Amino acid sequence: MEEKKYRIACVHVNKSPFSFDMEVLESEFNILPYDDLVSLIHGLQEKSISHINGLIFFGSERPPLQIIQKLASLGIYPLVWKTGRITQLNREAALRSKLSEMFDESSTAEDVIRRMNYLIEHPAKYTLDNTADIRYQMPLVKRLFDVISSFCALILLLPLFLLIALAIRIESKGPVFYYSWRIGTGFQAFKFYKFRSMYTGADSRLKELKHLNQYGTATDPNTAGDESRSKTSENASGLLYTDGMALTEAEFRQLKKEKEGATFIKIKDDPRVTRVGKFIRNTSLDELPQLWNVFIGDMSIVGNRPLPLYEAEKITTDRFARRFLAPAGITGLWQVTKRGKGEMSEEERMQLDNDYARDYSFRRDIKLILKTIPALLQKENV
Amino acid sequence: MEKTLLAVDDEKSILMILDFVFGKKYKVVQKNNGQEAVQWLQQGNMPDVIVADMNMPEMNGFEFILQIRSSGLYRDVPLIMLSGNENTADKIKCLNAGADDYLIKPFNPEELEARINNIFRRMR
Repeated sequence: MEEKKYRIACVHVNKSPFSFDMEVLESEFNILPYDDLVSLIHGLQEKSISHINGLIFFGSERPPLQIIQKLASLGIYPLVWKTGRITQLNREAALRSKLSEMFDESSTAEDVIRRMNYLIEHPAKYTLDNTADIRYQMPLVKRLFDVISSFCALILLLPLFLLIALAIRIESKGPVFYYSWRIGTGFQAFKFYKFRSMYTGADSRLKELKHLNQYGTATDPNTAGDESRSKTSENASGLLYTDGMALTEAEFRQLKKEKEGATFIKIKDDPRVTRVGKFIRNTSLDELPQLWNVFIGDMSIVGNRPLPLYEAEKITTDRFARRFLAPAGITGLWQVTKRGKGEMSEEERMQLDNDYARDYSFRRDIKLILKTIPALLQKENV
Repeated sequence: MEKTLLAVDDEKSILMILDFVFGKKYKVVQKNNGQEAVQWLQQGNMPDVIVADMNMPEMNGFEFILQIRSSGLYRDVPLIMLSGNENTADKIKCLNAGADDYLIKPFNPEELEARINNIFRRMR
């Protein structure tokens, strides 16, 4: 048998499958199926997934521009979109977003193999200036403000940091800080630091609660997203039984959706949280180490909340992916708007993120910082 | 909007003629072989019609047809072959591979223009 040459990632392969047998492709290429683009990107960045030659994205909607650009910057070429039926409209969309090729139901295995081989062996010399408009460049004033303010804050808060660190260590064993991977500007993943507010090693006992934990624990960053998702569905079906109700599939889906939506909300009185943890969470002191993230440039003081992998993955349309154009930040429009007003739908929240991305300025940032202070002081059990 | 004609030929004189004949109505993009033409397309360019030679270095006309017709992005672009090769077997091979028409050199530019216009008329 001939050696398989190229590694092709197939994302969401069951969303718009080829009309021919995939086995034909598998005999030519090394086909790697993925369900999760953001995790794939993260895996590539962290080198836990070795280089792939090309990517075929299956689905009726093309992936968001920021994701396409991110993949291109990681040297993935060609980026191919497989849709149900090629129309003038989606063809133009593919060209505009610099996708290298597209296929549909009428494409044969021969077509796909011929084009993939050619594209891999003859990559187009990409002129990135056309995509420059969707790149984010932090304004100098903003960065300067971030560096100075975070540096001053870190110095001033040093005694408080030591105090919190001491309290954490006294109550429970384990590191003072922990990090989780977050997706910030331009789908860039970075280590998001916090004070540890939970017991370590309690994971096995509390695994079933994991999906409810907004911040995740510092588990393997590559599987964290998938895990939380599969846990969600398990739990959703478990809930059906305990409720003892007969539900139609539609109702079940609705319930599951609500359940998945719940991953965005911090749960109340999580038993994994230490007493010190509870205090620093209520006072938002656990967020202070993010000043370090600001100082080293991962994020800004004001910006859109960086999202965990599994949440970033859910944002699959250009409209909402716009939020990744703006800087990631500790506080932002939705934090200020949210507190005190109770629950806010995911949709509204993403809308706020987009609003910020569309129109942000230094003046607006200062306003938001000022608004954040009273919001922080609010003693709400969140 | 001005239409774009992609002319692919390793013979400079043919490109000059095509540019001279179609230059007023079209934006004529000239490429010296199939490879160059495909590279240009891969940069995200979408021509309205392609006129290509058969015998070219790097990538010949037949390979070029196969690449264009395999591509979901470019498979609907009208493609007319222009060749000194009178062999009907080759002509049939190209038409079967997806070329819309096949003209033999020496050709009358007016005939080429008429054939292009007919393709556009059918596409409407």
